[in-house]
Amino acid sequence: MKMANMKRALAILLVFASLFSLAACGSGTNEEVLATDDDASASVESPATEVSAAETGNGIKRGGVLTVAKMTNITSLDPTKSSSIDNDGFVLAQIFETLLRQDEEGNIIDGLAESYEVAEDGLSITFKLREDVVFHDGEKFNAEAAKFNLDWYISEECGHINYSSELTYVDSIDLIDEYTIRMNMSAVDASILASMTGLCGYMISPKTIKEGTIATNPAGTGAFKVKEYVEGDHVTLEAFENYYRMGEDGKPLPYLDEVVIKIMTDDAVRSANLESGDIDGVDYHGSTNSILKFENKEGFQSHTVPSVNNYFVSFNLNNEVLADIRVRQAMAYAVDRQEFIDVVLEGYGTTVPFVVRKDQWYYSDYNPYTYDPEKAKELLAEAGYADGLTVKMYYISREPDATAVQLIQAQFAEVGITMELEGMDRLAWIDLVRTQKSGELGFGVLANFGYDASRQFNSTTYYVDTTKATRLTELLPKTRASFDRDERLKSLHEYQKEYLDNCYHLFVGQNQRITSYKDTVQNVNYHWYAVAKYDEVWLSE
Amino acid sequence: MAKKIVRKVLLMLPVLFLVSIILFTLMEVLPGDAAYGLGSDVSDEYIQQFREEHGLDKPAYVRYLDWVTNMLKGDFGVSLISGLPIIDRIKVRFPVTLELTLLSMIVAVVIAIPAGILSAVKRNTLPDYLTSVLAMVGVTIPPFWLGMLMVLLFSITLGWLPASGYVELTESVSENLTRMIMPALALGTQFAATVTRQTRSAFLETLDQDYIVTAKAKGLPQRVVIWKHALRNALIPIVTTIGMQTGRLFGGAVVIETVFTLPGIGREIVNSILLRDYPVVMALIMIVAFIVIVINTLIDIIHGLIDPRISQSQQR
Repeated sequence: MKMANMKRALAILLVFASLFSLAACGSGTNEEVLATDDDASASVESPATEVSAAETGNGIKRGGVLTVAKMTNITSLDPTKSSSIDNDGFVLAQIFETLLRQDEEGNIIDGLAESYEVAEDGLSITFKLREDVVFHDGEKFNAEAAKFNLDWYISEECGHINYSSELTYVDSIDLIDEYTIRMNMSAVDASILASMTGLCGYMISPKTIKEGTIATNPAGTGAFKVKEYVEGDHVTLEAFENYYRMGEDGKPLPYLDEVVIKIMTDDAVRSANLESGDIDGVDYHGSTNSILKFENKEGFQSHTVPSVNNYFVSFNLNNEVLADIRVRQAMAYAVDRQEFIDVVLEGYGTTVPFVVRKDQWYYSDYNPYTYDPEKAKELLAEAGYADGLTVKMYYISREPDATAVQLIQAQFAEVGITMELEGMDRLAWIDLVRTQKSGELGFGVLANFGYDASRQFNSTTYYVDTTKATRLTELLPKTRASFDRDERLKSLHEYQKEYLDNCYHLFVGQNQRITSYKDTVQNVNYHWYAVAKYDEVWLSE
Repeated sequence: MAKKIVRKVLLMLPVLFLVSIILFTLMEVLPGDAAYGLGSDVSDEYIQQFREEHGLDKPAYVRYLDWVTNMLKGDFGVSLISGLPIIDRIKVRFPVTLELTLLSMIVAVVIAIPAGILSAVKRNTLPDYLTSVLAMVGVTIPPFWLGMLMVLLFSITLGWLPASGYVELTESVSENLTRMIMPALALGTQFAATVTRQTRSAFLETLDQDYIVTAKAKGLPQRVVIWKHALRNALIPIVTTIGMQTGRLFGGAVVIETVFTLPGIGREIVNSILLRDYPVVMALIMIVAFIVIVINTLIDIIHGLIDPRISQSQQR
């Protein structure tokens, strides 16, 4: 009897252990735990809710600490060493302010410069600065400080990370009066205005530049100043007591006492922390699972961020097979983009021909490639591959990339293309596809966070061997050679046509980035470059 | 004994040197460049400038020699990505990982040794079956998954414990322990299960020895037989297991620190490898390697203390 009882107990325990193990196998979070941090990683679109300032009404509550999770690591708190405005910009935008800003439609509006004037020949721009601004360290913001910053940015000593892509035509800066500067250009560059709304337009206290302490003790003019920074873990920002902008209650912004930004690179961890209440919001959701979890959940709100990821297939033009435009075009005809949106992005995305969002002023629907498997087969036969061909695709081992390449593999198979797949980590992939311009096919992501049209178009050349696509490098400077929007539009569309006609990339789809916050977080708005602004945020509880 | 300790310490140096060579070679053969860790929008011109500035264009042996020279001077260098001194990062992160691994070890040892002894002494009874099954479950559960389950239960469902974050021990002991208990349990469970199984088997083997039978035959109480006669002999394989598992604890910390967003060395190593920030990877892994080597050296010394025959045979 005693033995029988023991056996029964043992059986129950074994059942328990088996169930436990089975549950472990079925857990959807396992693969996500070591997900990499990457500014261009997966995110999808959802029918989200925008929160506007008007909705907050009166009854704003001051004080409190907002704790949010950031998906990617902070490269540096020094804007001159930070390349990605939608990544580090999430933190930098709370600390620093730019000379100019952009509104939701991409129009240039006032920033620390209350007005600007472009000379008739387009070779100089005069900025009239605000007179009521001070830096976090007490230094006054004036023409001298602005000139010091811009002189520093174009100096060799600074080595600004974006110098070669954004500041190459800035020649010198003249001091006109205490609150006016003039920027002299060596050539007309319409994108310089957009650059002054981004990382090259941030104004840093000259004192910290001289002392070389920007990265450790950054002093800007923003609503928050740095209280504590633990690299790779978190940054704590506190309200800047001398901020010049007023809140709706007639007192200086910000409403919050502090903002804590925690680095949480794993999507499952971010979601768990938001659900448990340890954090008040997440900057981006890295998977459809987490978007769906918070989309209609009571006590939470979700927002669509004005930024998208463009998924593309790159072709190695040095490869004998892919050098033939008919093969590239066949592949472009073989891909059913709508199926990509439905299967890979679970319906949360759109098909677009190029890297431009439909709401951007330079969008064009010019698209020579619609899904046509018969046409694809014809082109392959013309190119001498009537019996099919075998190619290899390199991709970054993460989602949704891994699912996407399998779908493309299946679609290619329908027209007789056998595609082998090889996954790798992000930097190895960049090394192979971008630096060496080798391999065969590459599946990757280009972010569009609405910066400047020319800069956005420039990013499309990263994975193309431009020695083989010389016309692109000729057309690119033309896209920024005039301040006239119509003229720019013409050259931008010409660039898009050249790019697509030659099928340098195959753009398969575009998704949207989504954020979620607790319902108690009020008045979250977004910069044009996709990052949340917390200067007017307040907590209802 | 002093001679033996000096010899053991001296033996650590070539091991560390070998580790550094292997590590540097591995980082070298990894495709990809730290310049791309800066972001996706870096221009080709800046990448070239970055490589020159940080000496990445120099031959590998030159960079390794530079690194060794700086390390010997106590200079850990700066991060390629942020440009900030690595030593500052170590000061913040090392105590977190050390606390996590120590707590896990304490939790594991406190549970595992008594459980293993109980299981062996009560062989083929319900407590033995229970302990064995639980140990089997403990060995098979991946620590990160256990961590996620704990967050689900204790943070989201019950709301008893915070899901993430770290408070320094010096700031608040209670806040620190509240945040460390789940990571320590998640990390320590597999360790505890392994030590339990090892303790059980070591004790079973010892309890079958003639001298134990003699001790029992001469009428000694079971308590004395177990704690005075059996424990000391059974301890050797147990201590060896604990020493060997310490390295695994550091490995496990990599994942647990990600799950609980602890600012420890493990999480930093993963991030730095993904960003090819090789001075940071080298510095942090060398520290972990140093600690594991020190612990194993200590285990060797403890072996001699537990069983003087080992120490005598080594002297011969």
